[in-house]
Amino acid sequence: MTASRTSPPGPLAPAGDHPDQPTLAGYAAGAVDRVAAWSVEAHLGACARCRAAVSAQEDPARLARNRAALLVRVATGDGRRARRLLSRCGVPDHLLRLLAATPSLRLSWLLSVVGVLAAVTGEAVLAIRLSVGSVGPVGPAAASYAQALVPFLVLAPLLVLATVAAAFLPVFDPAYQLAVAAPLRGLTLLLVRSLCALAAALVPVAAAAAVLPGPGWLPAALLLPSLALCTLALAFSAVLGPLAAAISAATVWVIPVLWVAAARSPLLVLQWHGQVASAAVLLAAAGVLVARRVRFDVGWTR
Amino acid sequence: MGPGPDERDDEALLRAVARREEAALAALYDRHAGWLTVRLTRRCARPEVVDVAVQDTFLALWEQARRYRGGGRGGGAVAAFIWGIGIRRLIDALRRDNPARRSLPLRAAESAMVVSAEDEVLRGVEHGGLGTALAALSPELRGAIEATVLDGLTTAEAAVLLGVAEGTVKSRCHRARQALRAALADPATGAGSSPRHRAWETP
Repeated sequence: MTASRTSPPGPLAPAGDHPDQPTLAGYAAGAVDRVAAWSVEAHLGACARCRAAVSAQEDPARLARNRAALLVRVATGDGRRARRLLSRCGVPDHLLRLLAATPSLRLSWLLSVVGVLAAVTGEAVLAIRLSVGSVGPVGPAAASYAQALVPFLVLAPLLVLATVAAAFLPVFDPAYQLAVAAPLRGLTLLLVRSLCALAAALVPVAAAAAVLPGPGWLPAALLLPSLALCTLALAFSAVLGPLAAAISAATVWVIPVLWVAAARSPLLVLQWHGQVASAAVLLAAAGVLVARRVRFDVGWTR
Repeated sequence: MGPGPDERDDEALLRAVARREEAALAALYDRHAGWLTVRLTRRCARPEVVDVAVQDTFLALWEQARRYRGGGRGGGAVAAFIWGIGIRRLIDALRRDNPARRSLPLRAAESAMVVSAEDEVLRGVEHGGLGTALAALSPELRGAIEATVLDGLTTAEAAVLLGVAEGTVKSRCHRARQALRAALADPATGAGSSPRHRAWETP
């Protein structure tokens, strides 16, 4: 916008009452003193023409930058009530903006809730059938409970993985193009969103684990394998495409678990051997992620 | 950019913004962001804070355009409305920037500021005795008067803007009022020397 000959919309102050061009320029540059600035400002409130003249003094590049930032914030639903609340609580602004720009997080949540409900229902049916079938002392009954847990053990970390994958697969996430323009490294962006999806998914999974028959430590024990699995998927995606990475990581989980479950007690997977193995996988995968972080910078989801 | 400047007037644009029309918001931005940036920069010298405040202002317009109640003299009321939001967004940005001040109470209502009696007095203030009296004040006192009278801020808001304690703002305003009263009662003391504030009279 420049000061045009034809007057812009809006009322004009009476002619002859306008500050002259040097005064307006001096005001814009911060060169006039405060009292003179006050009368310029009082005049600006009522005069569109002088507003335009002052506007013309401001750096167009700066205005264009803020304009672009504004339109992105409008498009991503910035400024909603929930967001302002989180902001008051001290969550950094740029993170909020990212999370707000991830509609797939809602999908993640839905996916995990539906998945967990299905798994828990299946479990309950299975557990009842097995415990009815088994008669006798504690031993066989406990073993059959453990057997009944196998599907849940296999599925729970997979559900977590699926919800995290949903947070970054372009198929689900129309906001993934923002990644290209985000003022963060691609990897940071990916991790922030994955962590958020992870947190959303772990809640129902842990709740289900607590409800199911089985040892009391089950919810906590699921944590590390789930985390390792998701990190592994992210590490794979440094090499493969995101979908292939998610499928590969899922395979890496399912095969050993089924094998252990068939050969020994299924709960072994979550006891200390399993935890150590999970920790090792987690560390290795994190190492790969850091080493290959450049891979995530631009357009890696293609 | 779009196909050229939007020809609708400010109030029409604001109504369109209330109907979630992004192009109207962009047009309002193109028309008002410049002077708003300039005017906020006079209150806060840090460009990054001002930039955030300007963005927040138009974002607030986007969310709350329907709270505009029109009024006053046509289009000028929209500029005053935008300024009323802008100065408070600046305070908010300063508060966020300085977490110690986050606990200050927020003033919720962004009331439409109409052209006030102060504005009428201030237009051409440097011509009269008031201008000389104001010019004779120390910069601190003038700053306090500017924030509370001209910008219509509460003392708490003015304290954030000026970076001093709330009590300091109150005492400065008090001292400024006393000084002004004395100078206006006895123009000879204040209205000494050369006219430092030359009028922008058109020939």
